[in-house]
Amino acid sequence: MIGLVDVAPLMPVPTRLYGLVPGNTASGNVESLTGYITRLAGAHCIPPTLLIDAIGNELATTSATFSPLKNFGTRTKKYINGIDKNAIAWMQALSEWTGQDLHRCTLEWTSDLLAGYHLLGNTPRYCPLCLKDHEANGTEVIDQLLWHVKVVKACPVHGVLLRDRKCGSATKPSVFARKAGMGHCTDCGAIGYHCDQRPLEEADAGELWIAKQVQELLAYGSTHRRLDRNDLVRGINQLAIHETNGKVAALARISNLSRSLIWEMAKRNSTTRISLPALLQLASAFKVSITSLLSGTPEFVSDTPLVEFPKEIKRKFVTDYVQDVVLHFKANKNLSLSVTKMAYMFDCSRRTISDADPEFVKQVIASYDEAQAVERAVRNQEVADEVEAVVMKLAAAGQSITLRNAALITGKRWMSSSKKGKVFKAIRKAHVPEGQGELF
Amino acid sequence: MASFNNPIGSLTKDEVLNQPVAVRLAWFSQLYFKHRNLLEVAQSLQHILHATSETRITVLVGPTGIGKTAFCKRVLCQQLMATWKDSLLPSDAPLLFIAAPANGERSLSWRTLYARLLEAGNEILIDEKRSTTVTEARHVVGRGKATVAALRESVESMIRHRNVRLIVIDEAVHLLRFEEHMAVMDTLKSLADVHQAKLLLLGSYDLIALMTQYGQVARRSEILHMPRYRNDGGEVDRKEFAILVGKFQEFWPAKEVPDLLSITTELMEATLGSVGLLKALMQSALTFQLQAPHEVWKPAYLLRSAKSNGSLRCIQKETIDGEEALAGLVYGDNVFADKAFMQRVITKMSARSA
Repeated sequence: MIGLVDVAPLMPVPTRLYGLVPGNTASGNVESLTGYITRLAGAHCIPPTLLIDAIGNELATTSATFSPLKNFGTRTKKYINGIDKNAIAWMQALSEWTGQDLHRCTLEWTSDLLAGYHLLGNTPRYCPLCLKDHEANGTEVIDQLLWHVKVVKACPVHGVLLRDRKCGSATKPSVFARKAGMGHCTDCGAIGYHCDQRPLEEADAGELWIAKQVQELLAYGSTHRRLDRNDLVRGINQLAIHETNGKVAALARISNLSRSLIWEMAKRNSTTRISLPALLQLASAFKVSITSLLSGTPEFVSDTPLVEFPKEIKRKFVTDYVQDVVLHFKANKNLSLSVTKMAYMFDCSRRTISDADPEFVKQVIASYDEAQAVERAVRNQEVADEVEAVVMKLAAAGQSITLRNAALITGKRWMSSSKKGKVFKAIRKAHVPEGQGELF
Repeated sequence: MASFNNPIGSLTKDEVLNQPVAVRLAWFSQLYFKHRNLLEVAQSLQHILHATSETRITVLVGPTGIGKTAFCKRVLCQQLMATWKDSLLPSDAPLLFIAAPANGERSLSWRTLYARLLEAGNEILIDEKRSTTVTEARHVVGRGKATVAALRESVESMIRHRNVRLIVIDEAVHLLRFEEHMAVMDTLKSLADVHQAKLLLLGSYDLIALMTQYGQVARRSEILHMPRYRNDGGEVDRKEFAILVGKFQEFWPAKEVPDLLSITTELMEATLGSVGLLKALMQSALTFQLQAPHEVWKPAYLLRSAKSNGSLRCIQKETIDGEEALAGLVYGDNVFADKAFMQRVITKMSARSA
């Protein structure tokens, strides 16, 4: 039998990276995107930093707004796992390059409702018992997104406190010899963290509740593509109806949160986002689960412990962002800094700002005002010097000292009502005797 | 007529007659005909390469220029795609096709071989691969990038993650140049053990020695032969060859078509019955014709296109020696091939079932 053979088809071109399946996407123990990247880099036998560079350079060429990461440290990991706009680019690029849906490996799907601050932590952590379970089952150890959430201190499955991935060992192998990845100590490379012999610590009820709530939130994402503001609005209003006769402000008072924040969260067309600790604090105050609040039908659980986030968080909250606030006020030179204005900027209660450390806040305000005064003085002196120079120039040229002549000689408008105009008038008096010449 | 995936290939013969010379030559060049020997090899390979088969290493030997490489790139690919297409994932690279390196070094360059495998698998950052070892219960990344160990580790990882099912190494005879046959076979065997991947080596008859010297390899390997059509192979071989010649004549892209069928026997002699050599002869003769004034055909073009007598004798000697060495070694050449033996088996089985 003779027949013609098709010239192609050749084998289809595979995806650029291996299609590793992200772990536990249907549960609250979903793998983090950075953990997935590390596992992917390990499968490709290259350091994760090189993989990040390769992807980042490619994304930078295709998008003018994308900024490649400088390294793969803990700070940059927050950006990839969180709700930063770059996180979306990373997630989409990796989804395309691996052929896997990695949407659930970040918290980007919460970005419509949850604020970025106090969401993810800097310290890489793990649960020793979860690691032992993986070893016993022979499954690959994954880095859970849950362990990156800042407020989570315990494992919701085993009820023990999470541990730092660094053992602080003095005998570290060369940084080039250390293998990155889950299941190895970041300091000494010990497999399964055998270098850490400390006994396990039990978590208290509050820590366990927080961990379980966050785990439920992550599991909630497996059935909901994004968090819906309308559902939260309904949830808050339902809560208010049930608990405070429909008074939303009373929710804030009872839960020790900012009224403006709760009002904003109860409005459909608001764009304000709530931090995860604030949401947990609200849920805990009224003994509801956060997922039921987010779904619009609060479910009351009687044995919910009361959690309020300790002052060190609030203190850090203030110190983290005070610089941004100062810069913001500097840009609007007519405003003065106050506790009320800072609270408005931070979307929290005034008590939060003043409770953080009243003395510290006063110091910040005082030093800000002082810095403003110094700056004002410097600016005034500059204006005075400029005006003096123009007056001297006019005098030397034999021209009459008028605002019009000053405008002609400098090429700029000199208004009598402006600061320069007023200073001009004062300096002119010193040069021109009374009764001679006109200002205009 | 089969459809083609490239613009030139999609032209019919009538359309191509109006095309420039270069296009007509390219069109003729990409013609590829299935024939009896090729289909037999394809059928045998399909069985050997089945996932449940225990054969890990297959060698496809044949005379030089018979068309082994073209067969793998065209027919085998098509066949395997039809089998695998429903189970492929986007990240899969089920078939890797590479040529064994012959870069003038004193020993086999495994690094080059592994690098070619990684390139065939669309691997990234090949020059940055690192190996990992476990020392005192600690993972330690090895020094140096793209070492042989690192590339080997990467190849194994790629085979697992890309779900590689078949690795084809063309010009596999280059693996024999350095008299490290045992080391070569051990390494190839270990590669074939990774994640159910199978190896297919293409080459000349010299590969037979590689497969038959080691019992461990012989147990899980098969030798396939892609033979030529022989003048002394009976009327069946001559008839098949004539059909092929007829096809070349049928698709001749010139107004004046030479009567090639009338010289089938002579063409068979000039090409030793090799389909590849026949195609090369036809291509060359066509080139001469299309470049001549008014594209007039002359038999003299055959004179200038055929292989020299010396080359032909060399190829013939290698082919004959190879065919002799293959006796009793080829896939299917077993006890059941003996007619009397098979008849006894059939008789006994029929009696039992009755």
